[in-house]
Amino acid sequence: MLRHTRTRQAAAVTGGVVAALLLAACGSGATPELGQSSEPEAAAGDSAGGGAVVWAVESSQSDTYVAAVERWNADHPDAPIELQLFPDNGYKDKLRVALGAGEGPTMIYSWGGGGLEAFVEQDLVESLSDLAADTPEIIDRYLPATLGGVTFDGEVYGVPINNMQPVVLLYNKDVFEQVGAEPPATWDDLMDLVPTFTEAGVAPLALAGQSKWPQLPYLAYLVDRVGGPEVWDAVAANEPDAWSDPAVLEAVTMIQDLVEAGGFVENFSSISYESGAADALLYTDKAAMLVMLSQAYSNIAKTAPEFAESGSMGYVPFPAVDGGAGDPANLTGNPSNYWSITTAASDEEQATALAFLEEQVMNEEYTGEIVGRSAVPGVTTAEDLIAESDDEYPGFVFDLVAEAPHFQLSLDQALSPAQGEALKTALDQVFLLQITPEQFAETMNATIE
Amino acid sequence: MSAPAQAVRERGRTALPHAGPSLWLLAPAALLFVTFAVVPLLGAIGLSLTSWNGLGVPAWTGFDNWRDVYSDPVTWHTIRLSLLVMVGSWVVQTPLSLLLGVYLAGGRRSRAVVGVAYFLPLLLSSAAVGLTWKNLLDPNFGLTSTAPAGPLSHAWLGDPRTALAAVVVIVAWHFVPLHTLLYQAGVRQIPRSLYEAAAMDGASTLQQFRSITLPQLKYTIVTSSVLVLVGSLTYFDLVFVLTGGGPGDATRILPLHMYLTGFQATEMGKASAIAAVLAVIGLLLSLALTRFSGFSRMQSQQEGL
Repeated sequence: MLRHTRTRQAAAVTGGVVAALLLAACGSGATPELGQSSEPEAAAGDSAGGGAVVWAVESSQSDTYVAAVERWNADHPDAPIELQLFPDNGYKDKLRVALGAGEGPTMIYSWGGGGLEAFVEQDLVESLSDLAADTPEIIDRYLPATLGGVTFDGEVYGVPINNMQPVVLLYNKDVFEQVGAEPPATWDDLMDLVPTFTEAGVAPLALAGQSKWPQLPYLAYLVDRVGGPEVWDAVAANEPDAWSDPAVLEAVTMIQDLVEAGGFVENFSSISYESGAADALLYTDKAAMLVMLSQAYSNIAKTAPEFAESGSMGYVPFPAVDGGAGDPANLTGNPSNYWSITTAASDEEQATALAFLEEQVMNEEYTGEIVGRSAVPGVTTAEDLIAESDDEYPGFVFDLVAEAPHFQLSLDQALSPAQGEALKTALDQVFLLQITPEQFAETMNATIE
Repeated sequence: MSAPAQAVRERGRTALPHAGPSLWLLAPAALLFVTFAVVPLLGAIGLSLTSWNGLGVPAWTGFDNWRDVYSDPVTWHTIRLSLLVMVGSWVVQTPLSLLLGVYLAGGRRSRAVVGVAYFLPLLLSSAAVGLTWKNLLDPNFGLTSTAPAGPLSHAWLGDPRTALAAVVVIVAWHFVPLHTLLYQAGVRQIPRSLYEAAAMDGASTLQQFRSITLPQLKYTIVTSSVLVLVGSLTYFDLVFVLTGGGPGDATRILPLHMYLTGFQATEMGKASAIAAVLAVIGLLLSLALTRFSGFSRMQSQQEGL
């Protein structure tokens, strides 16, 4: 009897394992387990009608996508769109595996730059310049500055779907008032502020070091301020020893000086941005400043409304560097996130996606929602929208972008994936004071193809 | 080689198929193994000879990736970290789970309650365990940031000197229950008469543990150790969620290095070469363990009982 039960159990276990393996094998298909569907009745594989499947990353801005798709589905029951939202973590892997296997959705979310370019080279995404030739307003409604990250060889491969995100310096006005300080206009100001705040028991700068990418803007800005955008152009062009440029070495030295002076919150290496801890340090008066993508403002306004509404949150551009060759008005960050149409999608699916981009993306409701979140969509009508808003922050961001001679796409997106990955680790070691500027340059030079 | 010895061996060999179950019973398992282990392994080895970014057609590059992997100091760093994690895991998990298993095998009801509570970590997914610990150890808003933590308030995961040790401890927290379960079952298999006889001879509890429990658990220890050692080579999810390999490259263990190379740096060829290295290390380790522990010739511990 005992043996009998055991055999049966073994059979059940084996069956379970087989099922699990089969599921795992199918896991990379078009129906993602993690996806959160706004329209569950329209299955991913159901392409019989003119429906379309759209992927996006879940964030503080994804409500806009959900609302736009809902409006579309209410108007077009014959060609429903299924929006699948994914967490940021792992999305890029999923995208690459799906597109590489020819299993992608109709429309994909991306950051533009090197990642999207790899898809363009393999002919996996459509040129919108071709596809939307009859409806040029799909592209024309955007500010040219926001299309840089999706323009390759003069063709546009994606359209912005959310706000412009330059990296800015946010600061806590209450803490600044306490110590009687002014927000930093130059790097020297910033260095002078460090002892003032540490003596007052406040961390000068919050930093989410565990996520690694929040460290990138420091390098991007300082290299640009010291040496100008040409340094990054040389890196992007894979010129030999591009990372040994004196501007890179100086920028890395400046970062390490700031770390050594105690400029960043203690333990910054165990703070992940996704947990919201870096934002929280700012609004709980534990840190005075935060260098972050502009949308951090609306994130904080959402999580700590009393802090934002009391007018305690200040904002200035990233400090200038005295004597630097770069224009202090230059920016880094993400001009936007984008939707691109895949070549694997059928003609009907592509038509649906195009019509959706034309009708629902960046229409009045869509842009209104973005401005309502204190953010700025990169559309030509942005100035009017901001004028109507009683919030000053969108105007600040808009002017920054409008007046910037150069907008450097976030380094991890702009470089090739291999270089971006190596950069994040090497820069983390710079912040941890584990390697010297020369070692950093050497490590990064080795990644040049 | 003398004739009788050969005769004995031959007899032993021919006798085997009759003694055991039919080899056909192996077929389903073998099929699964070949489909899901051998074929992908060969595929990975093939891929390791190419340059491929996950899109388009892989380009043949011969042994370039292997040369890269060999000459890259990062590879050796990650192998070293993986071995450290392996040794650390064994040192932390084995004594703990052995003692807990012995304790829980006792009959009292209080132990059953402790046992149930204790097995909870086993039911949680690695991702959940990782997120929970990451938040608990957050230096600014986590449990260790509160006053009662005292000297424990350290950025365990953010300090390159302690990150790896913290990872080993969290991995142990997750897996010790499984090994405790093994030991508990092992202890319950030991005949009571052994202890009764020992007690009659006046052996203390400690002596009983040393002279009866430990030797009787020999194969349980071997099994559990193999699971810990080989399993530690594949820790990935927990470390990925906890630290992502950081700070710097302080916790970039070999499987994580493979993943980051393959899916973040999109160098699938190089990642495949790393995967092959990982497979070889795992294989050598399993072979060595089964050979030197006597695992392959498991004999009864209870002869004469």
